[in-house]
Amino acid sequence: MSIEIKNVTKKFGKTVAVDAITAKIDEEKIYGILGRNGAGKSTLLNIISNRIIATDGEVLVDGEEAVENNSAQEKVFLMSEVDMYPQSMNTAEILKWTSKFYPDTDIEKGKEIAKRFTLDIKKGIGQLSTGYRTIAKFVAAIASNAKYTFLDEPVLGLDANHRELLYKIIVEEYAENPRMIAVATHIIEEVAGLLEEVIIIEKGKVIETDSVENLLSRGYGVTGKAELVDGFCANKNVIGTESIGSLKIAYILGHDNISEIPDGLEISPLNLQKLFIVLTGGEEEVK
Amino acid sequence: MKLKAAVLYRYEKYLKVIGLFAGLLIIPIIGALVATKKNNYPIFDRYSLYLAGICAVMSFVFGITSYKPIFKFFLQNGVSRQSTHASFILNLPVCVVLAAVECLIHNTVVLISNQMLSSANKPFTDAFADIFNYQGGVLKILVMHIIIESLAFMMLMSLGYLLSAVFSGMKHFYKVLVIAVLAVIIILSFILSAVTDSYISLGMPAWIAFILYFIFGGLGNFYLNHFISSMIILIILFTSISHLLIRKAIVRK
Amino acid sequence: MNFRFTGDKPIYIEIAEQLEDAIFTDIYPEETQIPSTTELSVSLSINPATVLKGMNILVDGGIIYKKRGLGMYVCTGAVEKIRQKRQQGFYESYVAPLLSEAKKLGLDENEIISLIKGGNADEH
Repeated sequence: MSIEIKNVTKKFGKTVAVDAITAKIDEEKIYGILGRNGAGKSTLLNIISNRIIATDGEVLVDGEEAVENNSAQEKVFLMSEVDMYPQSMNTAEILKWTSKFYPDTDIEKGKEIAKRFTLDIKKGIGQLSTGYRTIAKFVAAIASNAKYTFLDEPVLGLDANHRELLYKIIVEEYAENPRMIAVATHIIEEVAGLLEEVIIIEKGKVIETDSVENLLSRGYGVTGKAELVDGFCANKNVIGTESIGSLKIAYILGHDNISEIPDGLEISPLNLQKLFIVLTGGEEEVK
Repeated sequence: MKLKAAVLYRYEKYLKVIGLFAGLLIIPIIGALVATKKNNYPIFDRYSLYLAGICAVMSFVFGITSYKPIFKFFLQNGVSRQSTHASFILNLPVCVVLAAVECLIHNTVVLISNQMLSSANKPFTDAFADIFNYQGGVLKILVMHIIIESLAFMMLMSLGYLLSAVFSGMKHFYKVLVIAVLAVIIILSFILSAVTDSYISLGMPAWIAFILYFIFGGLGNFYLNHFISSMIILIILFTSISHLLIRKAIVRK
Repeated sequence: MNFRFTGDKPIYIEIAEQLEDAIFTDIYPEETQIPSTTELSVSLSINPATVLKGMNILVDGGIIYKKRGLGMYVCTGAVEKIRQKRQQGFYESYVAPLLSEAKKLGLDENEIISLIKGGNADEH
């Protein structure tokens, strides 16, 4: 059982927001859909959830066409960055209606989560702060129990405590009630531990899709004096470097000749954030 | 499942509004009755169509609010565009409820007001029955009143929905353009009909006469069957065009 | 138990190491239960698959074992096993880096030995 994205393209006028993306999203895993702002993450999620209609290609949810298909969409819940709920609606009402549209919704669970965030469920979402509006949407998403739950920038406007709580709830939810939960974000450092699989999107294209484990084991980092590092890297596939004074870090793909590490160099594993920055081409604009 | 919930959502939303509206009406109605008593003159008589007018505006507003906010809410909840549109059509019968409420309140008030005045024990009549020259017993007249209003309200609701669909699909520039063009056409039609002396004996521009003719089947004489069929044609026309618009609709911020 | 991730190693290895450390320092004595995968993953906000992978390293090493339907338990003799393993690794983990650092600082053998002795003396 999975969501299959086949050759999906979306053009807005002349701009290609999603460019022939093919990917597979398995059930019961936590995914990270990573990409810089404007990479096409939200557009792709909007296509999966039938909010935007693709220019080309198709999306199958457990083998069923996702476009204009209520029974396929009953398995898909997208918590989006944009507000889709009527402004006057409060969280209690959102939960009530979510349960009508998504039959597996657990209203009590939603109220429980709202309580942990001290969210006032009787307050219209239009009157809530940005952070609490995000929380209200998150509450609905988790309560929906949808088989494929997508969270688009789920920590928008949240302070550090609430972010931590939100990540904790995702894992808790996943552990108690295994289902696919995808977190689309450009803030990778915080979610890295959460993720099992990642899909990295850059300029409308999927540039990597793999398990975090495989991705990180593809290479390593090497730190030391610049000339030593350069010498070591000479015949290796270097995907990026960083310099701090005369200290240099190089990120290398592959494990050729790793045993011959000269003195003065240190080896470290890749981390997701670093790999992401390197893969998506440089540090500008990346936080 | 999705369609059922969608229909339920629409009914809950508009039945609440109708209930609230009926509740709030008590105040102006009591006021009108007090004034009736004081002046010994009926504020509400059988011809007064204030309430019908307010309900007509309300059904148009129902139509306008039936599109964008609900479309967005339904997309969030995985309802297809087809089902969103179907749920709108299945929701049109709220207009029957609105018409029934209007008919009930209107006639009750007229009855009370007649009782208060010396002119009691008048035979029961109804404005719509008069307009359409409709003969029949009290029950038949009341049913006809509700049918006429229901159809008119449904037509207005579909029109509001269609306009809302047209406008939310447009960029700001085109919205302004459409409004400007419409305004120019209407003003021009008045000027043209004045200049070309195309006023019909009723003293109205030809295009208004045309609309009246289309809707009622005549200018002086209104024909019930013609009215019913023209309403049905308009409802089908408006909902069909909005169906075409919603099929590929997306949310614009 | 207090987990701290340094980011120097893959998370599952850090989980294995820190669990091992907790067992070695008697936080989880032999034949007692250690936290479940779920408990650990929730309290650390780490994917359960990652936690499980860390635990499996300890299972493979004979440090913990699974009691069907009950959870993970510390093996009898686990502490001794860890001690042996760490003794074997002591040179690589502690002595070698010490020597390499000493070399960078230009300390000779005698100076190092006297530092080790002196360091002890300083603490008293």
